[in-house]
Amino acid sequence: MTIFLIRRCLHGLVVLLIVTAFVFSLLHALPGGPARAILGPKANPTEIAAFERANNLNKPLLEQYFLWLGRALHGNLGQSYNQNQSVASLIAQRLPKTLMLTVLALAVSLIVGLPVGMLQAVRRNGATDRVLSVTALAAYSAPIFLTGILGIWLFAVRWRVLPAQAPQGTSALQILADPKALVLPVLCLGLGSMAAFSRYMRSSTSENLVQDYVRLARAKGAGQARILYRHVARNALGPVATQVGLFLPILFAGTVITEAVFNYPGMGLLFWTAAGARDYPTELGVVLVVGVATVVGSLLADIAYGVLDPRIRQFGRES
Amino acid sequence: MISVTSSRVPDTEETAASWRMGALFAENVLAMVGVVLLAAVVLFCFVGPMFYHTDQIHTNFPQADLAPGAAGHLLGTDQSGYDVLGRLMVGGQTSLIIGVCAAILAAVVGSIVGAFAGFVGGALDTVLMRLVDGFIAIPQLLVVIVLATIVVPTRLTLILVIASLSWFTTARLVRGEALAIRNLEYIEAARMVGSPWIRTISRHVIPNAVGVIVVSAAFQVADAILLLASLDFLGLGIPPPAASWGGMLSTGLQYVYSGYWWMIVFPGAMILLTVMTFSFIGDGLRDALESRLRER
Repeated sequence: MTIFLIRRCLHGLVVLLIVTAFVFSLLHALPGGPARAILGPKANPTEIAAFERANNLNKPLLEQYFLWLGRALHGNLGQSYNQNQSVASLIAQRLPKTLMLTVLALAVSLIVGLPVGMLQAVRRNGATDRVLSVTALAAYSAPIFLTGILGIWLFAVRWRVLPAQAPQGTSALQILADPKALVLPVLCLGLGSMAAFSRYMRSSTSENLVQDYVRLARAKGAGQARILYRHVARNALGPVATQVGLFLPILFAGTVITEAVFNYPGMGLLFWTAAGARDYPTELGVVLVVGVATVVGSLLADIAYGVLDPRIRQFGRES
Repeated sequence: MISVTSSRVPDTEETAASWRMGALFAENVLAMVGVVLLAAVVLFCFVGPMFYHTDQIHTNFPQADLAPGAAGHLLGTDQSGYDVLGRLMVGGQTSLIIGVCAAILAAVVGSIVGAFAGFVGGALDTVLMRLVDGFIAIPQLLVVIVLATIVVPTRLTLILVIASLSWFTTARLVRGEALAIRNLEYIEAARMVGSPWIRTISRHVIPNAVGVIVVSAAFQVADAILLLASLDFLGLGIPPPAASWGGMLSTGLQYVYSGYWWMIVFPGAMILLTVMTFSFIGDGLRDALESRLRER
């Protein structure tokens, strides 16, 4: 177990270094380079030269990278161009709200997707299964901005049952205080993963339903409900659980669109407005935070699977 | 003599297998639906404008916001007076061209990287695969948005931006295939008679992985079209008067309170239809590939 942990952490560390190196190289790919990126579009050549000297930008790239990494580790991600605030404080204000949106969407997609998938497996190739399969494929293919717009048009404009705008507030708690306004954003963000989870659960349950242990349980006289919930569900959930970690980055990326459509005051909206205003330090700060969060998340997920399943400890996840 | 210099024996088997794969693909109803729909979408976008002439460059405000069915405008007009039906055709051209080109480019880059990593192995494999791990960790949409704000959006730059962030999964899959065959006898034999490894990769490793490559390319077209639509929706695509489905949706959103449903429903339906088309085809190809592998 210790060897597995050490190996997995080292791997995570290497990936983290690559993620940071990638963001660093993006910073250098910016029009005008990092000096222009930090001083802003109005800086003159003298100021840029002075800034480059003061900030070691005339040193070799590798040395610059480690200096930049050191600053980033201390939470210094630079200053936003147009918000008169440090990138770190902007992200700190908005990250909790986006995390809450993501977690809610993930929870809803699991709560709906898993039972639907089981139902489909039980009714395999029947009418219910086919209708649900096509619905799931459509839901999976539909981009968030499309479901978001259709949701606003139907529920907010035509039927007037839900507000078109997400709850506004400076903290996650203030946002939770307006659950009705959260319905559309959470559903739109979660719809795609809901469809995906129902697919995984359908195939995983179908595979388990033909196993010997199910026949044995049936032979012992266990009812359908008991077989499904006590035996099949537990076994079928394993492979699905490994997918949950993979959906976090997808959901996180989805928040950019969801928050833009519903004007949800989170990190995704911050990123989108920054992109529109070419506020590069903020854009890259968000990319860095999301990249790091993804790597750490998948590291934790792998360790959790390793704890749950000894086979993974031995052979790794791929095998 | 083991077939080394003449790769004829594996070749004919390959051909027979690909025929079987084609037959299986045709049996798959959804996949055929996908192919038919794709043909319809391509005809609609590329041949449609030849018969249905509309001006998608000059605004025409007296004719703005007309509902579907208005004289001469089957699907209505938008806020600038552009005919919605004609705009769907023109916008679709960009989506399809960028989506397909980006997917092909990504498939080529991914196959080459994956084949080299898996076949050469060792340090090169470790470095390349850790790079892929790192790139995959950052959500694609975010990096695409950053890159789109750096470059000037044209068809070519958008193809390059999307392709440069889409080859990682193909690389991983092809690497797996390369790892699986690198110790097979005919590869060993090729190595023994001194076949240069570039030749071995191009003649044996990549042809063996073609099924995997094609399947992931089909899904990648769908992803690329979605990604492009997201960029257009966020206003980072090719700017107006160039037409795009995502751009039409984003203007439609501004008029949703006026009840101009035709500005969102039609472009939305086109995006959904096209993406599902490529998913159907990808699913069908994957089913065919998997049953082919089972036959082996």
